[in-house]
Amino acid sequence: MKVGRRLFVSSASFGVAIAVVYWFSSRNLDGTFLLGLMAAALTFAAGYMYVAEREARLIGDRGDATNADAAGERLGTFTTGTPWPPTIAFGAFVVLLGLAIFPALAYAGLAIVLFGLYRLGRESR
Amino acid sequence: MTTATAPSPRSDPARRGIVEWLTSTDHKHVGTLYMCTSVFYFLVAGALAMVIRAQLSQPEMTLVGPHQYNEVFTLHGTAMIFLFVVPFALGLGNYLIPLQIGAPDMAFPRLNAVTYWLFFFGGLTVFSGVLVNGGAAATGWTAFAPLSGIKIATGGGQDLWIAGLLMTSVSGIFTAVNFITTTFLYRAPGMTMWRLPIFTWEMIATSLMILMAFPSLAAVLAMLYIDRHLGGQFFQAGAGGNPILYQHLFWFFGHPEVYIMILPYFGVISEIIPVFSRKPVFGYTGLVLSAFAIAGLSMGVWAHHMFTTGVVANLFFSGVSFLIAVPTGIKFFNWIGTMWKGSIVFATPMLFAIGFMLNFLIGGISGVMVASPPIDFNAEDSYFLVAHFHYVLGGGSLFAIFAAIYFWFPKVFGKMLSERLGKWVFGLLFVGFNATFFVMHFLGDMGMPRRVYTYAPLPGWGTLNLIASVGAAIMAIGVLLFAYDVVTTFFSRRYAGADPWGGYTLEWWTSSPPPEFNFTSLPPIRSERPVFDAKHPELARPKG
Repeated sequence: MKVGRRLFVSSASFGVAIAVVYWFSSRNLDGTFLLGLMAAALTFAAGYMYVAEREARLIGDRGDATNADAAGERLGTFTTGTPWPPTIAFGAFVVLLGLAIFPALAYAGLAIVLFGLYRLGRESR
Repeated sequence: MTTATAPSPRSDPARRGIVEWLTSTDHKHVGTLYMCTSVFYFLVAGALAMVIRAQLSQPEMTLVGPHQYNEVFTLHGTAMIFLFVVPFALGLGNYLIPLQIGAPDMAFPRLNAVTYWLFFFGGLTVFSGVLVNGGAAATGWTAFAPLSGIKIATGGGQDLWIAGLLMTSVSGIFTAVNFITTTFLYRAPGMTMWRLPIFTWEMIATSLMILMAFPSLAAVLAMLYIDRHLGGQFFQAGAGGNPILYQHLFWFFGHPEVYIMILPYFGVISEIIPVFSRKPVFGYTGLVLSAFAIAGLSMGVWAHHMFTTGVVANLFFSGVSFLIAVPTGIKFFNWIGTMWKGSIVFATPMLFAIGFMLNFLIGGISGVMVASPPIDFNAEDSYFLVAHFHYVLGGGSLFAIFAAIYFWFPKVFGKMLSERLGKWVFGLLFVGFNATFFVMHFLGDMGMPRRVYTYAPLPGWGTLNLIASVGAAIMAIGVLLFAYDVVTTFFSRRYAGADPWGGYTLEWWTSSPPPEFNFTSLPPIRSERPVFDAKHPELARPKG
């Protein structure tokens, strides 16, 4: 996690630096705004990593860890196959097709998306 | 190379039902579907390229009309970029990242399946434009406003293009989140970040770029749709909007996109060269840091595509564009350093890797040239640029994709592609590619503009275009031979075994194809090449 946090902090710092340099070399608002947003997003992620790092005890971070160290009663969560991801994507396809050529179709597509999300949500519990 | 007995029926994907594949959340299935679908789109886009080259093979040809030609090159570019090169990398990442870090699956398997299906239907949406009134989108892969506005692009094809790309961009964002989360949280015991394979590192850098760049694409597409149908005025100069804003937003995505299309393949090359040089990778840290340097700098070069608009800071964008050559040069230096004094095996993946280096070098050098505004003003919208970006994405990414296919096909399908045919495929693609695109530098220098459906019989133009078209035909033969190789391999008995190449990273520890949840055991992980360490403990070099 430490490396991950450093990665995001460095990226955010770079984003701030390049936004400042860009503003002073161009006085262009569009680009500065885009770079500023990028830096803000990276700062947000870096902040989250900083908080999450305090909680995390990852076996992958320990260079001397062995398979035995990861052993335990709980294996983890394993997902089985599900038809709802293709259903959701198909619904999104119908929504956008509707918006492009026949608006009524979009409502049907939206219903498919919502139904798929509902079923996927129930299944994920 | 080693051979092995046939895998058990349970692990043979050919014996699984199609429903199981289509509803699967297993990262290997999702990754394989991604790659197969993207190769299908590559074949379609390649067929469109053949139409382009046939039309341009002689002056004043009338095989297709001007509007049809615009549709053809728009679909060709869109499919190659959004439906082939990027999704293939995402598919490869899907397949390899959990295997390389010793994880049983991705962090969010259901989300992972959603991303594939969004991409699949996104591609269908783009191509469904050919069925509607007015035909498919015909405004190039950039769809600049006001050209893509409702007054000029009146047909539904442009809307379907917008919708399709919106779906693929959302798919890309979800995939990037999944990659980063998986890599940070799901590493096997001992797999510290500084022991990650280079490919996985490159995918982290790529994912960061996707997270920064793709929202800009989604935003500009939504704004374009609003302008077209909901009375928006974002890009309408006459109504107070600004068409240049479209270019800013598009290229804020579009230039990082170029590196999103190449960084994963730098990772592929960084995996292949050490294995076939029989050496550890030279300059591991340099390769990792250069990936992030490229990722960072690429976020600050978007307006070098806008030098000729006259409203951007050419000095800033030119300077940052030149700077990118430095980390890219570091990568080349490290690859050459890895090969230096190695026992190089010229297997097909290695040939494609070397082909990648040679072609990408040409594309990189012409890239440095057009990063200079005075040269760019001359080269803008000419065939010189067509040559440049095809050397980067065709000679670069495409060759790395073939390298990846020949390298990991045995892992994915459990069978070896033919080495003899593979070398023929390489030869045909290498000769055909260079015949097609090298002459375009000269055509551009002579002033031939890009995106013209025909041209006058000016001195030299016809001959050079004919050479390019013959080269394209040679490439097509190479691709057909590759397809033949793939089909015959499925019916062959060339079983691969777990580790046919003597690989270094964890995917070569498990069976080919890997079982459900990937591993039945893991070796101790004490460096970036744990499989090599386990097989050759006397040569193991533990790393902190």
